Parts: sequence; C-alpha cells; structure tokens
Amino acid sequence: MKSHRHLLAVAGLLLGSSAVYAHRVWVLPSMTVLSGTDQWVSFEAAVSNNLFFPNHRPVSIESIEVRGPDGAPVQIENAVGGQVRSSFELHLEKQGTYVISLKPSTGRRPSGGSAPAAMAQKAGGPPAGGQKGAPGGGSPKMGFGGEGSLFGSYEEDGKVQRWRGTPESLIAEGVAKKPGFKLRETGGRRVVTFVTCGKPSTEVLKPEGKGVEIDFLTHPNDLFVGEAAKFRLLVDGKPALNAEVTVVKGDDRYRDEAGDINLRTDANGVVEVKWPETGRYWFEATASSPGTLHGVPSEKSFTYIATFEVLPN
Amino acid sequence: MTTHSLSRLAVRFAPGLACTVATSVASQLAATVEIPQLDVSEYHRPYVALWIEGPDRAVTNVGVWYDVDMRNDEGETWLKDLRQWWRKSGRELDLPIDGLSGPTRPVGVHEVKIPAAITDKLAEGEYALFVEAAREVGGREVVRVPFTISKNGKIDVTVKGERELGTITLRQVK
Repeated sequence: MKSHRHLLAVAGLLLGSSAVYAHRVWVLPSMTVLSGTDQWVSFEAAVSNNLFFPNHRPVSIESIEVRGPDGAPVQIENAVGGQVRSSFELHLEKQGTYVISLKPSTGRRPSGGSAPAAMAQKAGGPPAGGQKGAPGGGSPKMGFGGEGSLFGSYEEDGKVQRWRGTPESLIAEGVAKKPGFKLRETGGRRVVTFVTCGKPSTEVLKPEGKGVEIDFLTHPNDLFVGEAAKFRLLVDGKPALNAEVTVVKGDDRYRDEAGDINLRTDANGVVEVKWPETGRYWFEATASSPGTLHGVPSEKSFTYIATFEVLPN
Repeated sequence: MTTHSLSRLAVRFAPGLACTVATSVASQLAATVEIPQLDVSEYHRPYVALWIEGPDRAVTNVGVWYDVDMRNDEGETWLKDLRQWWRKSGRELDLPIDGLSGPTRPVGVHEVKIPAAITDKLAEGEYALFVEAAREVGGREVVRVPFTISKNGKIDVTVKGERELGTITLRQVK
C-alpha cells in the first residue's frame, strides 16, 4: 500500500477536499427519471472507497431527509441501517422533483470525542473510541468533513503530520505553533441527490441563501451525455468563484485510473460539466475562504456533494 | 384522465413563419412503421413514439403506443424508456390523449396516417419524422426520417432501422 501512503501524504500537503482522502460519501438512487404514478425508488447511502460500492462505512439512516416537489418533507420507507451502507425506499406520490439529502452535520464534535493525536484518524473513520461497525453507525456527527471539523497539518522531523481536532484542542495542544502549521475548517457540507417523476420541477431546487448550495442552471435530472450542464455554486447565497470541482464517474473499481474530471467555477461561480459518457457520477465542489480561528489563519471550506445520473440521448 | 384536442399539441410557430403552404400534398402523409420479428427468449411488444420536428425543433406528437389498458395507468411506468421522446415531449403531457395514445402493436408493418390537423399546419421547410422504440428487457432505437415540405416537392422517404425497428417509410397517399 505504498502508493496509498503516498496519497495520504499528498492529502496532508494539499489540505485538500475530502476527495483526496478517497473516502467518498454518496446517496445513490436506483433511478432518477421516472414516468407514471405511484412509483418507487430505492437508495443506498454510504461512505466508500469506490463509487458506488459500499465498502467502508454506512451513512446514518437518521441523517437522511427528503423534500418533495412542493418542498414538504417526505418520509423514507423500508429503511435499513447496515454495516457498510444504509438503504431505504421512496414512494413518489407527487409529480416533480424530489431532493434527498443528508442533514447538515451537527457542528463541532465535543472536545472529548476528538482525536488528540496527529495522524490518529482517517477521515470517515469511526469517532475516536467509537464502536467499530455499530449498526447504523456513522452517527449524524459523522466526522466526515462535517460542519465545524478542524483539520491541520504541520511539519515535524521532515514529515508532514496531520492533525484533527476542535477549536479547544487547537489551543490546548499547541499545534498551531508547530512549524508550517496550516488549518482547514469545514464550514459546511451538503450531500444530495435528486429524482424526478414526470416533468422536472424547480420549486424544491431554489437556493435559500444559506450555507453551500447549487443554483441549478441545468436541472439535475435532465443530464445527457455529450451535453454541458451548468451549475452555480453558492455560499450563503453568493457565487463561489474559482471553487474546485471534481467529477468522477461510477464504477471506478473497474478502472486503473479513476479519471477524475477536475474543473473550477468561473467568475460567476458557474461550472460547466460536459458528461463524457452515460452513467452515474459523483460530483464535489469545494469553495474555500480564508479566515482565522483563535487568531490562527485558517481556510474555511464549504463542500457540495451530489450524485447525478447521465442518460443516453 | 383528461383528453386533449390535437390542436393543443400542434407545433407552435413564430407568427412570422406561419406562412402555411396548406398543401393538399402534405395533408395526405402516411408513415409505415415496421416492428421486426426478433429472436429473443422473452419478447414484449415495444413501446413506440412518433413525432415530427420542424425547423425550430418544436415537437408535434403523432402517436405513442404503450400499455394503455393496464390497471392504475401502470403502463405509464415505462414511458420514460422512450428516452428521447420522454425528454422532448412525453413528460409534459397528461396521458392518455385521444388520437395520440394507443395500444402496443405486434410484429408487422403498421400504417400511421398523419392527421390533417397536423399536416395542415406544416409550413414549407425541413422536417423529420422521429420513431422511437423501447422494449421491455430489450433495446431502444430512434429512427429519423427527414422530409421537406415544399410547394411541388414529393415526399417519399424510406429509412431502415437496425434492431428494434424495421423499415420506416413516409409518403403521400391518395
């Protein structure tokens, strides 16, 4: 696993998005475009190393929330919290577009639960001292780049060390004084997917001007191979310029190279994605803004993750 | 289910372009659609959609064949598999529609008269008849049949499908 270690080191250097950790969180619908009435869609939700194969951690079933075409909450059905993935179904009783998302993470984890030691934890791993593989694990405080998590890196003995903790432990442990210390704070994260029965609707897609969002200039259930989709990334309602965007097609396990498509949002916060093939894609956009935390310069990142299906034309 | 007149579906031209030829020629258009015999272990009749696209790419529906008679409109579940039609028009419609919706057809050649309500509105220009077929546990195919509406031009076009559709023709009929 030499190459894997190398990747981790690079990850530390870049202080990058969750993508570089290779643990990717997703909610995957069985179908995204449906016709008729009284339709059902099944979903899997997981944090995994491969897209879209559950092989690491589940996403808590309690963290799933769904809004229907009219914006009202919709109950998920037949929910199962598994060891490596959660699954559930959705009854589409209304025509239009549904948004399926993870509830925003619940903020900073209590100090006691943080990992004090450098290199102690992989992102997406269980909370320190957490129960290994507890059913329905990956609690709402998933600690996977969730809101308020702190990540740091510094150099020691010529090596890059990674640190993870809380605002309290940042000061208490004195890591901020280490040479070359860099701090990244996750300001917020959304994980979403979309399904549409009948005509795609837009009511439920309207940005609310809070946190990280996408203004869908192209409808997320109207994506076709060879066509360009345009999405505007917003943070607190404002376009996020020059934000990093990573697009990865599913089934990467069957490819030597995952073939990530790396893009950036333009001066209007818009990214244009031209889908090279049909299939299911994992999309991640990360906007960063500089700030300070307890006087320590930090980079605050906002991440929007979505699963899209691209259909034949 | 509500029914709609075909006029609601008719292609909407920009007013300036509405110099309809109103040819008696065009008003006698008929297509034939061949549904081929396939050597497969599980065969279901295909869903088929027929539509005309004009110079402005607006869609005029000619027909859609699906399981119209299933309980609770269950047959509509697979309309989305007519992917191109579903995107261009199907998802906007409230089916079934009189004169448009019809049952699936067996293997063979089927004649489809293009209603005068449609052809009367076709101004001079380049058009195409699209035929899309999608079969349960089978494939999908779209065949494009280009044709020109002009004062004196004759329409007699034949295009062969490759898998899910056989020969498609469009010609004037007396």
